[in-house]
Amino acid sequence: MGWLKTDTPSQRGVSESNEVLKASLTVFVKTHDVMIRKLSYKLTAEVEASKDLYQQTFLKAMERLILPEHLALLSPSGISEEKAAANWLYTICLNLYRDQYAKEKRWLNVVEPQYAEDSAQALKIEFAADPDPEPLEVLMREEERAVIESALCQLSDHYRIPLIMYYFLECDLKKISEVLELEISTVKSRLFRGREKLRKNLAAQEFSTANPIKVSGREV
Amino acid sequence: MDERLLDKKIEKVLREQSLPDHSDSWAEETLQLMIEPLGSIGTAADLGGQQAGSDLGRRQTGSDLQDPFDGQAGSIGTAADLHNTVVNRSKITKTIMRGTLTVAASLIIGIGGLMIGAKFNPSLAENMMKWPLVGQWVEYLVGKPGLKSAIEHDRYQPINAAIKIDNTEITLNGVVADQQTLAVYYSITGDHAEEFVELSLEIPDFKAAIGIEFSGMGEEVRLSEIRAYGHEIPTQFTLAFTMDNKVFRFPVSLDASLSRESVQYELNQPLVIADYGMLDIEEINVGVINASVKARLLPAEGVKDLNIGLYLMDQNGDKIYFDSMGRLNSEAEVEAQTMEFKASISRFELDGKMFIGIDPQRTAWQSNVLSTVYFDVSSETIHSELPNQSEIIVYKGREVSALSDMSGKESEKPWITYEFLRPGMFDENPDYGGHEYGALRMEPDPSESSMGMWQTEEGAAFNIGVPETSEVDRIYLSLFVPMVDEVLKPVEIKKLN
Repeated sequence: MGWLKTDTPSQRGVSESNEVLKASLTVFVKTHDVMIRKLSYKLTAEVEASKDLYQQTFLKAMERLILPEHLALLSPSGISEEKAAANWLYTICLNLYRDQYAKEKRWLNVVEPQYAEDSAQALKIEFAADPDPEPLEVLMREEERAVIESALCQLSDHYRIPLIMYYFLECDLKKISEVLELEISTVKSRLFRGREKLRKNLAAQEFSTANPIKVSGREV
Repeated sequence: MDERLLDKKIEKVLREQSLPDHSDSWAEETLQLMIEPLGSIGTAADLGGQQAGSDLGRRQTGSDLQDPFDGQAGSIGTAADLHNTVVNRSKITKTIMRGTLTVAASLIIGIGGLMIGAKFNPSLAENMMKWPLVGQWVEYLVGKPGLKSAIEHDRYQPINAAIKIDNTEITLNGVVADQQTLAVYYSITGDHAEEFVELSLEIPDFKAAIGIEFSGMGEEVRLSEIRAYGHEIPTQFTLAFTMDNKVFRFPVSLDASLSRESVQYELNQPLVIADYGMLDIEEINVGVINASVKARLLPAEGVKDLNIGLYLMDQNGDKIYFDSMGRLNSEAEVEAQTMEFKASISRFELDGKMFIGIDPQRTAWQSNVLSTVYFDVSSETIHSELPNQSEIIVYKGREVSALSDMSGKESEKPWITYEFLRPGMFDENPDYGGHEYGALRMEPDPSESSMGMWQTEEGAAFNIGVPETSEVDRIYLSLFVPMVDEVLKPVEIKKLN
C-alpha cells in the first residue's frame, strides 16, 4: 500500500506526511480551480448550482486521489500527466452534472415560445473587429453574448454537453464518445444538430426579443 | 445573416466562459471540506503557502509519505476508513422532482404486430414441404432467429391436413411450437385465397392473452406466430381459422419431445432502472422458439408508467431485444404491473454466459409534466406546455379517409385522421429504434380509435384516427421521457437446469 500502509511510524513522520498530502490536495484544487469554476458555471449557468457542482467535483475526485494508485493524478510529474489529471477532473464534473443537475434542470427549464421556429429570422448581430471598441459596442457585444448564452441554455443537454466538451474543453470526438458512452458517429451528429439547433434558437430569440422570454427563470 | 459568421459567434461564446460572481473563495471552502477528514493541521491558506518549499512538484514515494493517518486525535485509521469517510461526505442527495407527478390514464401507442409481408415464389412454397429447408426460407425468418434455429434443429412438426368449405380450402402445413409460442404454416386456395384469415386457439379454460403476429403471405404459404402470455399452450388443442364467417377447425396434437424443451435462468436481484424503479424478474424461460421473461414492475414514487426495453445478451455482447409490446397480459396482471416479455431466441442458441439488461435507449417513462399537450378537435387547436423546445408537437392537418383491414376491406365509417409531428424526438436520440414514446387519451373516450407512429425526416409522426361519427372533443398526448442519459448495466443470469 506504500504511503497508506498501516504500520506505525514515528509521530513526526505522520505529521509530515499528512501535511504533504494536504498540501498536495491544496495544489491540486488550486491548479484546477479556475477551469472547474468555469466548467461548472458553463454547465449549470447558475452561480449556486455551479458552486455545488464545483465542490462535489473535488470531493468526488478526492475519493480517488487519496488512493495510492491515483498518485499520478494528485501530483502529476509532467505535462501529459497534468493534462490527464485535468481531463479526469472534467469527466467527473460532467458526469456529476449529467447524473444530478441535468435531471433537475430538465424540469426547471421554462422555454417559450413553442412555435418560434416557424418564424425563423437571422440574428442581426455582428462582432466588431475593432480591438478597442466604443462603450456602446462593448454593450452590444455583451448583449449578443447574453443572447447566445441563453440560446445555449435552451439547448437540450444531449447537444449542449457535446458542444461544451468539443469547444470549451477541446476534447476530441473519441474522448467525447468515451465520456458520454456514444458512438463517434452519434457525437458528430449531435455536434452538427446542436449547432443547427443553436442557430434556430437564436433566430427564435431574435424573433421574440420584442416580447422578453423566460429562460431558466430569468428574463432576457 | 451569414451562417458562417453566426457559427463563429456561437463558437466564440462556446469557447469562452466568465467566472461566476464571488467564486474566488470556492477553492478555499472546498479545501476545508476535503481536508477536514484528514485532521486539523493548519488551514488551506497555510498549506497553499507551503507549496513553494515543498516537494509537491514531484511524485511522492513510499519513503516520502508513510501512513499519514496513524496516531492522530480522532484519526481515521486506515486508508479504507479514510476513503469511506470521504465517500460518505461527498454523497449527493438525489432530488428528482417527481413529487408533483400524478397519474394519467394512457394507452400505449405502438406500431403493434410487425408485418413482414414477404412474398414467396411458388417453388419456395413447394419446397417448404420438404423440411428442413431453412436456408431457402431465410426471408421468411428475418427477425426470427429463434424460429430459424428451431427449424434448423428439426423442430418443425408437419401436419399437412386440409379442410375445404364451399370453394375455399385451407391446408395446415405444419407447426413449430414451444410452451408459449406456436408458429403456424398454412396455405389457402380457391375463393378468398388472397384474403386475411383470423387464427385462434380453442383451448378450454384458456384465459391468457394471445398475440398473433402475421409474418408472411406468399402465393401459397403463410406464416403466423401465435404467442400466449401467462399460460402454457397444451399439447392438444384446436386451431381455428375464420374467414368470411366460415370456421375451419383443425385438431392439433403436438409432439412434446419437439416442443417442451426449455432452459430456465434465474436472477436473484431486481434490475434497477436508475431512479425510476425496479424490474423484479420472476422467471426467465428460453424455449424452442422464444425466450420469455415474467417480471413485476416496481415504479418509483411519482413515476406513472415505464416502457421497458429489455434485452438478453450473450458473452460476446450480442443483444436480443424482447418485444416492445410486452404488456399483453390479462388486465388484472397489468394492474398489478406484471409484465411478460418475449424475444426470438431459441434454447439451441445459448452458449456461455448470459446477461439480462434494460436499454435506456429503448426505455421511457411517463410523467404528467409532459402530459400537457392536448388537441381540441372542434377548433383544431393544439395547446402545448411542453417544457423543452425540442419536444414541440406540430399539427399537420387532418384527413378524412376510409380505413381498411389487412385484407383490404374498407370499414363502413370514414375516419378522421389527425397527424402530429414531434420534431425533437429522434433528434434527442438519433439511434433510437423503439416505438413506445407516446400515449394518449381522449375525451370522451371513444369506442374506437386508431393510432400509429413512425419516423419521418422531420421527426416522429403520430397518426391518430377517430371515426367521423365519434364525439371526441379533445385528444391528450402524453409523451414518454426517454432515459437516454442513464447508464444501466446488464446483469449475469444463472442457468437453473
